[in-house]
Amino acid sequence: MSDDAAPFDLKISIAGMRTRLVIDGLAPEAQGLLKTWYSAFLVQPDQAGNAQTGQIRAWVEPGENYVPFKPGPWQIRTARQGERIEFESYQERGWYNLAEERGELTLRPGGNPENYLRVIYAWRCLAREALLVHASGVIRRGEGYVFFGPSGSGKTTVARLSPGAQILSDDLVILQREVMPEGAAVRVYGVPFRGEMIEAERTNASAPLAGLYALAKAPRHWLASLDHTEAAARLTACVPFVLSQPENARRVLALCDEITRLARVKILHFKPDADFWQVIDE
Amino acid sequence: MNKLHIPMPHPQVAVTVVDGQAVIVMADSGQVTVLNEVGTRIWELIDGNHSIEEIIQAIMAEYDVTPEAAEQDAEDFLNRLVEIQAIVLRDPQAPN
Repeated sequence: MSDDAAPFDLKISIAGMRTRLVIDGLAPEAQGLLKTWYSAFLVQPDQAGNAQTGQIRAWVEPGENYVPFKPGPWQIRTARQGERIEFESYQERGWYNLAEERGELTLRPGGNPENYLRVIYAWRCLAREALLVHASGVIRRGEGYVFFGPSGSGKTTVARLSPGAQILSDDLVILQREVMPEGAAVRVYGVPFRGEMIEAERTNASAPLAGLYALAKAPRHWLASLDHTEAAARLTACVPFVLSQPENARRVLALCDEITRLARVKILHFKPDADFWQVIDE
Repeated sequence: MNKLHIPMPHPQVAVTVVDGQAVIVMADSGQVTVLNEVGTRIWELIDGNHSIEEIIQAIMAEYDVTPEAAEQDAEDFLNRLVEIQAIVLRDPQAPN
């Protein structure tokens, strides 16, 4: 760690939840990358707001990987005890206290705070009755469309096949219930986290939810209805990190139950071309 | 399967009934399972007080099924729940 270099200081706001991340010893290239990724989500110095800011202190420390690398799915170990979230991945290890809204993170050189941020945002969402969901999302004609399903179901594919739409994410979006004059509704928020579409713009935007679509690959495009219970169950299965305790899993289930009651939920059978939008628009 | 054993929900399981169907979330793995109407009724009886035999008797009484079918279906269902670690079986004769 270099003592004379000023720490990297990043203030971001995702779906109204603010975080200040201060990292000592971060290489200039990594600083540039993080600034680019999160540029649309930066809190402007003059931006008003009294939202509680999560304070994260981080350091880069040379050493062995925290989790030995093995080919296969990316490993993130996370657990919650009381208000404290523990986090560990190959090159990052940290914690976050949800009640105190603060945490610490150590990074190996080459480490990246993004997975840690995903985990703490998942928990902070749940704390305010919102959900971080494994799904791709786009805004089209002012409305939000969310496509969910397990890995390999086509989330990135449908985001890529949405020309003219604003891409919220190909990997994770936030769903939040909101109270509107005409009644309760659901709003979808973009996050700066990406799956395979590293190159896609990271859009800081939100929109009223037009529909939730469970993805199913098929030889042609069609929409099928989905029984409400099955819809709530399938959406729950796409909520990462926060199902790890029964009491929180119950909260997630209850939120998924509510969201799938408020939203239009369908199974989108699709093949990889942009014509699937025609069946959504019908 | 010993019919005197008493099934109980696994401590790492969360269940919510949505529109009359139980949705089970395995908190360890995040796996989600939806139970049908009879499965949901059996789940209600998995409360640590009913033995497997009592659950089979209740299903026979409440649904139009033969005793053999009730027994077979209930046992298959409970075995599956044990397999996915949604329930544990307690031996009432075992010391606490």
